[in-house]
Formats: sequence, C-alpha cells, structure tokens
Amino acid sequence: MSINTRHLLPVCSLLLMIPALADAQEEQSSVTRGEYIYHLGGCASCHTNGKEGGAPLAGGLEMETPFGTFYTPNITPDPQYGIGNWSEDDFIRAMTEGVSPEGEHYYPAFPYTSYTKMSQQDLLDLKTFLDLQAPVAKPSKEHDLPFPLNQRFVLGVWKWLNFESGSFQINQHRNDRWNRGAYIVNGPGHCVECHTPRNIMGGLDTDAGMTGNDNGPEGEAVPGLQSSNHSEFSKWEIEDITFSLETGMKPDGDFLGGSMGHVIDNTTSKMTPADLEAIAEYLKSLN
Amino acid sequence: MSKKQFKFSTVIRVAVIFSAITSTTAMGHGGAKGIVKERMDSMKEMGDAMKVMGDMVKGKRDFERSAFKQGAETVSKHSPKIPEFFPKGSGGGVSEALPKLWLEWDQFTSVVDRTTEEAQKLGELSTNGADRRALTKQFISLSKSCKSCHTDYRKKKKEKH
Ligand code: HEC
Ligand code: HEC
Ligand code: HEC
Repeated sequence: MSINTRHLLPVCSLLLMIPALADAQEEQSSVTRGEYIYHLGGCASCHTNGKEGGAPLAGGLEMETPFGTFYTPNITPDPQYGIGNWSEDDFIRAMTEGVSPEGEHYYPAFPYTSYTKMSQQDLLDLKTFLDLQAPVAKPSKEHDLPFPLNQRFVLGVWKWLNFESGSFQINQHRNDRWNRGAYIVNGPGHCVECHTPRNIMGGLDTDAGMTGNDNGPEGEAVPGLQSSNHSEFSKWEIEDITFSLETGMKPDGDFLGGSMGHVIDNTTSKMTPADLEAIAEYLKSLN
Repeated sequence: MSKKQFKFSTVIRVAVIFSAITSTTAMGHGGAKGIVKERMDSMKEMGDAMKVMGDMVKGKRDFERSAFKQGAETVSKHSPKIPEFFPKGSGGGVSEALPKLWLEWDQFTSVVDRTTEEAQKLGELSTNGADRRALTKQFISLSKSCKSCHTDYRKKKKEKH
C-alpha cells in the first residue's frame, strides 16, 4: 500500500495548526471581552479628549478639581509616550494599587480607588484590548497643581487614610445578579466615585453610601442612588433605571446630562441588558 | 500621638490650605422668572411628551400610534423655539444652562436643528403606518438629541427642598 504524501502533508500541517488556532481564538475572545470591560470602565470618558478632537486614549482632557487641574495621560500603546512598554504586572499594579511602574503614587483623579475591585481576568482582558489600539506618539501634559500637592509622596499619606486595595468580595447572601451589579457599580463602572459624598481630603465617604454629592466634580450636583430618604429616585422602578441608563430619559421625561451624559454615552448605553438589570437590582437594594 | 493620628492632622492641614472647595449655592427651579421660567416650561412640555412615549416604549402603557403623532408634534413645535429662549446673558442664578453655550452658539443651534428634524421624522413615521419597532427606533434617535444637548450645555444644580 502506498500512502500519498501529497495528501498527508496538508493534514499534518493542519493538525499542527490546531493549538495555534485555539490560541488565536482565545486571544480573539479576550479582545472582545476586553473591549466590553473598556466600556464598563469608561476609560474613554477621561482618556479621550473628545471635545477637542483628540485621538482615542491619547489623553489631554482637562479635569478641574478643588485640588488643582489634572490632565489625563496618554494610555495608547505607544512605547515612549503611552503604556506600550508596560508588563501585565505594571498594568495591574497601576489599576489596583495606584502605583506607577517607577513606584510613584497616582492621584485619585484616576479612579483606581474603584478599579482595585476589578478581577484579575477582567484586567488582563482589558490590557489585551488596549494593546491593540492605535499608538499615539504624543507626550502627556503635566498636571497643574499647587505645592505641596504636586509632590507625589504626599499621596502616600492620602492613600494610607483613604484607600484600601483589594478585589471585590462576593456577598454569599445575595444572588449572582445582585453581586454582578455590586461589582460593576463599585468596581469597573466606578459609579461610587461621583454618587458617594467625599470627605475634606477628597476621599470617598464610604460610610455615607451612594447618598449623592451636592458639590460633585466641577461643582455639579450628583443625585443619590439610594432607595431611602424618600428621594425621587426611590420611586424609580427597575425598568425606569435600565431605560435611563440606556437612553438618558428619566421617568418624568426629563433627560440626564452633564457628566452622567458621558457615562451613558461611553458606558451604560453599551452594556448588555443583563448587566443593566443587575445594576438596577443592586441599586434598588440600597437603603 | 499614634502614627495614624499624626498623619491625619498633617493631611487635614494640607487639605485646608488648598481646599478651594467652593460650595455651589443651593438653588432650585422655584425661583425662575421671565425668560428662564419660559424656557423651563417649554422644555417641561417636551419632557411631558417624551414621558408618554417613553412609557409606551418601556411597556408601562399600551402602545398607541396616535400618542407618537401627538408627542412628535409637541416636540416639533417647541424645539425650533429653543434659541429664542436663550438670549445672551440669561444664564446664572437658578438656571442650569452652562455659559459656554453662548460661546458655542452654532453647535448649540445645530443640536436644536437635529432635535427638530428627529421629531419631524418621528411624526412622519407615526402617520405612515410604521410599526412599533420603527417608532421605538426613531424615538431613541430623538432621545439622543435631547441627551446630547443636556450633556454639553446643562449642569445639574442642587434642588431646593
Ligand atoms: C475619572 C477620569 C478617569 C477615568 C474614568 C480613567 N482614568 Fe486613567 N487616569 C486618570 C488620571 C487623571 C490619571 C493620571 C493620574 C496621575 O497622574 O497620578 C490616569 C492615569 C492612568 C494610568 C497611568 C498612566 C501613566 O502614564 O502612568 C493608566 C494606565 C490609566 N489611567 C488607565 C485607565 C484605564 C484602563 C481606564 C478605564 C478602565 C481609566 N484609566 C479610566 C483619569 C481617569
Ligand atoms: C462622573 C460622575 C458620574 C459617574 C461616574 C456616574 N454618575 Fe450617575 N450621575 C451623575 C450626575 C451629575 C447625575 C445627574 C445628571 C442630571 O440630572 O443631568 C447622575 C445621575 C444618575 C442617575 C439618575 C438619578 C436621578 O435621580 O436623577 C442614575 C440612575 C445614575 N446616575 C446611575 C449611575 C450609574 C449606574 C453609574 C455607574 C455606571 C453612574 N451613575 C456613574 C454623575 C455620575
Ligand atoms: C439645544 C439644547 C437642548 C436641547 C436640544 C434640549 N434641551 Fe432640555 N434643556 C436645555 C438646557 C440648557 C436646560 C436648562 C435650562 C435652564 O435651567 O435654564 C434644559 C432643561 C430641560 C428640562 C428641565 C426644565 C426645568 O423645569 O428646569 C427638561 C424637562 C428638558 N430640558 C427636557 C428636554 C427634552 C425632553 C428634550 C428633547 C425633546 C430637550 N430638553 C432638548 C437644553 C436643551
């Protein structure tokens, strides 16, 4: 019997390709998941200077705070001006501990205070996605902060008092949907960053919960999202919440705007219906 | 003094020195007068129309094509008047309008035009026998133009209770 090697060769090389194919598939699904996490995290809200026509993720957005003016950095994969040279560990440390690869502290204007709750897998997928975006060779702009706040070591003290790193802990007494909602709101979605009042140091007053902030970022009033204290919000039903997060429409026909408008555009309007319902269920449980 | 207490007081001092925390004065819509009151009322009528249609889209109310015809008419009637309701210098006080809208007047009026066009399109669909899906889709497009202007040119103030 003679075996026709001409036919065997393609079969052999096909077999050899299978592991590579599986890798490619895994990478593809990691990219797709990473893109979703990127929307959940609302990275574009801060790192893309849409108003001035800036390139995606190239930074430069001006953020005015009571402590000075911040300019978001370039987080494109450019090796020199972006984060293209970062290892997975560098990225995870920045996102969960607020520390740069050089060991310097980040300002909490970067909401690592919430991102610290993100899962390892979500962060790795996010990095896979970010690594594939277009690099932009443009240096980040220096922040404009008064002394001593322009000294990053001051932040060590701030973090010591106001920041607790650590991933999200599942509440065993609640169902999966509630836990998913809690994860998004307190972790990647960083909803707490605006909807929770801040203490004099600009740290989140976590004891107060999501009771709103009359003097939120840039003097904007942020409503509370608790169902207690007879707020207007306590009358919202699940579908009112999901609909407002999808379209911006409040139950009374008014439309959300300001910084929440950007959150809707960049984050909540891109969420799956299941995730919107999870958020609504979690918010309805807050008292 | 423990380490934590010591650091706490240092930080407080730093924070107090640099806290330019300007608290926004508490204001609601109650005190609106003149043109500001007029524009709020006009916006409110558009809001009421959007609410009726929105409730149908959400499934809280039975779906009626005639409601979309009526709602679209209300918005088409009010939207083109928006620029007249924002004369220069009518910001501040109880108004939630951002002053930059007068600096970006062309952009501001182009969102007005978009809103009017989207509302007219919704009106046409509702009289051309469009189905629920098509009406919902157009309603969402109209919603986007309301949200877009509120995102760029309105900033929430604390409500007076
Ligand atoms: C609320 C605004 C805001 C959002 C949202 C935000 N960032 Fe940032 N980010 C900042 C600011 C401000 C800094 C600069 C912090 C500093 O200089 O200490 C920063 C810094 C960073 C850095 C460090 C860059 C460097 O050059 O050292 C990385 C990495 C980063 N952000 C990634 C992300 C990712 C990924 C997301 C989305 C999941 C995100 N950020 C969302 C504001 C934001
Ligand atoms: C950058 C700050 C910011 C972030 C982050 C943020 N919000 Fe908001 N949110 C606001 C502001 C400001 C308003 C009021 C907007 C308005 O009325 O025009 C608001 C309003 C809302 C409302 C309507 C409440 C009411 O009573 O009118 C809901 C619901 C809401 N946000 C949910 C969320 C969720 C869920 C997240 C996280 C995915 C989130 N927000 C993240 C600033 C923020
Ligand atoms: C071109 C910009 C623009 C468009 C388009 C727009 N709005 Fe407004 N809207 C505003 C501004 C600015 C305010 C704040 C007015 C003030 O406080 O002086 C406002 C306020 C409101 C209010 C609150 C009124 C009050 O009593 O304080 C409602 C309700 C409202 N808009 C509904 C809508 C609806 C519904 C649509 C879409 C059909 C819409 N708006 C489209 C700019 C716009």
